[in-house]
Amino acid sequence: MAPATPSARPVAAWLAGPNPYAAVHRRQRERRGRSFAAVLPLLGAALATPLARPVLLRFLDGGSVAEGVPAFGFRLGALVAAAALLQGFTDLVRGEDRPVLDAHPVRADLVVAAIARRGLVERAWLPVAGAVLALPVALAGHLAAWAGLAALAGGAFVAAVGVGQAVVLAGILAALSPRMARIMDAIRGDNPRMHAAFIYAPGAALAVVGAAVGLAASALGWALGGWAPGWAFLALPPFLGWVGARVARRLAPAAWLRATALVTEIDGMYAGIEAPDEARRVYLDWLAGDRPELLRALRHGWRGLRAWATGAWLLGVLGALAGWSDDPAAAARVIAVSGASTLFLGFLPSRMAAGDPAWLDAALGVRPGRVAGARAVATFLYAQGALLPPAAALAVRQGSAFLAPLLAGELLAALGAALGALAAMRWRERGAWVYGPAALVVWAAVTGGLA
Amino acid sequence: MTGRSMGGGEDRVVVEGLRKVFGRVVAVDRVDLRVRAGEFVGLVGPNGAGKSTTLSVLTTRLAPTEGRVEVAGVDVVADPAAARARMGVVPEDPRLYEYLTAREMIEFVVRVRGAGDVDEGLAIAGLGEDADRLIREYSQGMRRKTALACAMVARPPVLFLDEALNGLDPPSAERVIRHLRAAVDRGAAVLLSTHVLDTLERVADRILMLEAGRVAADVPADQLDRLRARFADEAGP
Repeated sequence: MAPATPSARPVAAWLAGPNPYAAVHRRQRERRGRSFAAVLPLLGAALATPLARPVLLRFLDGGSVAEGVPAFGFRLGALVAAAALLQGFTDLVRGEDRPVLDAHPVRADLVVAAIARRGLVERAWLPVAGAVLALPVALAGHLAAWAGLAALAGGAFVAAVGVGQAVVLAGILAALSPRMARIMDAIRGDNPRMHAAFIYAPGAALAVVGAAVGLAASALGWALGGWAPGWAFLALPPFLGWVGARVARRLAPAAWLRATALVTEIDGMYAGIEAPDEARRVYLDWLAGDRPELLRALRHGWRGLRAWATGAWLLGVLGALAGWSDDPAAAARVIAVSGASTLFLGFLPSRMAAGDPAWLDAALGVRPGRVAGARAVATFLYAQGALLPPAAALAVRQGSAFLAPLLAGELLAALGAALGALAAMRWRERGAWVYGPAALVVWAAVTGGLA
Repeated sequence: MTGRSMGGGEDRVVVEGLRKVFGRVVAVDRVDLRVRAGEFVGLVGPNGAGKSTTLSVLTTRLAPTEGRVEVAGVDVVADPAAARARMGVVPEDPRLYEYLTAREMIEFVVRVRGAGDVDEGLAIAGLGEDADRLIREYSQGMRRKTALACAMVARPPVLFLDEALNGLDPPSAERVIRHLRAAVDRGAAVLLSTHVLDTLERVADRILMLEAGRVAADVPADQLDRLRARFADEAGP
């Protein structure tokens, strides 16, 4: 005999809409309150705007706007789309909903729609930041071109959310399909087979979105050149996003639920294939010598905040791309990219403080200054990943021209690490709110000087 | 305590030849188990024995490498959505929406399951006025009570509970056990994974012991002393 199921009472008013998952997101958003998380990137974009003009908007200084806007628009759209895609992947696969909803039966199509809606609302600052970055175009008197660029950034954002969901969900099905096993094995490298689809999903989505954004950007140039129908092409990326969202809702019932098993499997496989001594290896710990605070900071950084250490090298690759040029302006680009990267890494001490309970320091009798110093040194060491690749790229292409950017980068890294560690020592994890504006001031001074 | 069901009902949980392998690590090795309607089964074993992996497969959060797993007549691999509709789950580390209250969380579960009584859920949680505080302010015990209420509120035919009674204060544990026994008396099948043998002695009808991924013992709860002796042997002097 099945247990008696009590009849459901009238649904609570706040859940009365057609999508209860969206209602939960809305209520959570209201209660989290206003966050400066969206304001900071906008401020950053505003402060970076002077840098954009000499590096990305040189066509404003005597060039053809109709020719320059498409190239800038494509880069702008691709940047916005890439950021939205990466976050969208996290939302869908490893976001906060999954562990909560794993314990319940869910309407996966509604969950996926709610996640898309939340992404559009909570990261709406992304295309706005893109429009801010393009402001020099408007200030130079080309209002129509700026409006087109803003529309392009918005369209790329919408496209990335919709297409990203469709591609990730299709990737889940591909990862689980025995028929796709051979292809997955061919492209997975050293990763578990099932991980292959996840690895390539953001790239595949970016290729699709990038093609649409590229076409729309070209059409914007044609429109500015006098071919009025070109404006209509700006609707292509958001239309693609709408199509992607429709496809995602279709795929969701078969794919979204199964992603939990897939992710658990992947994590289990990684745990199984890691060598037993892997957990004991710590990046740069040989530099700690007999300084226990530094060893603790390096261990904490590597084991708890590894993305910062590895991410620094990714930022370094970006810097290397900026420096791989014979253009005399490449050194300034490297300073801008490396400076931004190292200043960003200055948030690391606050993150470390968030994971180091104050009572532990008190119990251990550790002097706060030493802990702060160790966090600063660890941050500075991690920053080398962001500094060395661009310096190497410049050295190869321009010889000794790498010295000035490297020196400037090291100074900024030391400054960011010291400021970040001091803020973390005084305000622990809330130090980020003090460090952020300070870093922005430094960043504004650097970009102002470069401009 | 209410009287124990003798567990004479139909099989609600059927596991045959379950095997789960991660790379070279065999987490679960050919496990067979059944839980009948109206039966409360305890799942015990040392750390790494495969309890959580088994429960993960049963609750659709992990696919088996081999074997057949059915919950309330539904194959959890072929139709995970339908299987989830027939089970209530409290994972080892229950996750909830941090910016909802317990009352809202239970209302949400009732809404998505399309069944259940919010007041009954609140009674299971036993949070009193704290039910209207944000979950982010809750202790681990309060979170677990909320998760238990969410799992039980719609009265699913099968309950999977992973260390679900850990961290509860004695009165709360008593209340939850009372509700669990009531669910069993109504015909639910309950599988509770735990390290706390004393609890099982009072509530379970049968106890399964996993060891190194295999079923090492399957005994009525009144023979718990046999398992206790075995645990003691493993713990050493």
